[in-house]
Amino acid sequence: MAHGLLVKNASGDILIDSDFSHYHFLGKHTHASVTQVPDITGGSTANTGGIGGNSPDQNKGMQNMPAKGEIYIYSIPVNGTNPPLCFIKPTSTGSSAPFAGIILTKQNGSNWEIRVFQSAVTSASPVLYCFAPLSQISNSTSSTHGLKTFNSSGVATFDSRFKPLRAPVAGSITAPTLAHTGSVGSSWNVSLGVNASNVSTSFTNQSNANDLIYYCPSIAHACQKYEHQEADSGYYGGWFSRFSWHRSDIWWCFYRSSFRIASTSSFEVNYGVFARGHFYKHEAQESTGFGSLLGFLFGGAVFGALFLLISSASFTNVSVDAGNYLPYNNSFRNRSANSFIISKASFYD
Amino acid sequence: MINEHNEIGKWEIVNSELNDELYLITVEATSCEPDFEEVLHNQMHTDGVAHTHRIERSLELLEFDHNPTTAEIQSALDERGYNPVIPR
Repeated sequence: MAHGLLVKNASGDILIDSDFSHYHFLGKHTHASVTQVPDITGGSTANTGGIGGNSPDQNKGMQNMPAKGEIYIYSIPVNGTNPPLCFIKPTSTGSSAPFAGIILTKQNGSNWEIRVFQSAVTSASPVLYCFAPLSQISNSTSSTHGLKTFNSSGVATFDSRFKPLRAPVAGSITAPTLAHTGSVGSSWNVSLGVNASNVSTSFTNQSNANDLIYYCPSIAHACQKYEHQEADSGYYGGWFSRFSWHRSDIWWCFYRSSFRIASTSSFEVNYGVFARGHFYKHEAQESTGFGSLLGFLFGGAVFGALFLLISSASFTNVSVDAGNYLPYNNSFRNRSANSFIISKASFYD
Repeated sequence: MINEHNEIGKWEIVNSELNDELYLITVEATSCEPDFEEVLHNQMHTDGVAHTHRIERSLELLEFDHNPTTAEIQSALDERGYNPVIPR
């Protein structure tokens, strides 16, 4: 820097650099709408009636599946190439608070659309405190004193009159590996709820947790599934009543990382259920009546024919193809070193 | 021995991944009802005796901090209650 202004604190951290386009307070924004990712569900059932109670028919919906989080959609009026930096003022803080994180930032005409995923549905909603470079802020002020810097091209880069972003805390945090550890189900009962331990990182103690806002985009995700199949064949209910059935199911959840202020000195990350689904295929066959009568009269001579009609227990052609629904199976991505910044709502309210 | 299908109680690894120093092993575990002795099975058919040939199969995701041996995978499945034989 041949000329300009560089201000550092006692620790050597840069506070103001006239060559850098500092972010300034753009405004406080509430969501325009809220949504959830629709469940992906379906299945087919064929000839499963009257199989003597042998054929399992339970849990063909979303029974036992964990609840999904919700997605808040914001429209931030800040036209320009640089996306706004949006801090989340969470609905609550502490060890019972839901986790939240930004999952999408995209330009939409003269606005930027921000989507915030929250791990649980709440009556209150997170609020965004948004920041942008001076060149993208149209605020005006009557204040005539303060500090304003320019870069070598003469473009304003910092102006103390427009509430520059202040970051008392910054760091990085790493999400858990899997969202659900241990068994993911038993028989037709799925168990895919988030049970990973929260991961915490501590920071310099602040006076009031409820005053803290944070910027930390959700980057980590995990995807886990449970598959179960059963098949059976044989005789039921007496002479020559032959049956065969097979059922194949796949359940899955896609999890996104999200965050919370756990205390005045602790920031936490865990997963929330972002999307989920369940597909199944269930088929059965049976023979009774005339076939049984023939079998009785001819001492089983028609067994061969019955075997052609009633296949034995088999998973053939009933598998549900997992690859059509899941981005990947039973793993996680992007969990390490997720940067975060913490500021205070009271700086800007 | 007769069981009217080609399945046997067993497990096999269907996916293995090393991710952030964690070994993620997805296992397909199959359980079956025991086979019938052939003469008995034929007699059951002749006499029309109710009987079944049941198969169950589930996916299990196992986590290890090292590349597991076969015995360690077997042990992990045992802890989750896996039994290759479905009792009649």
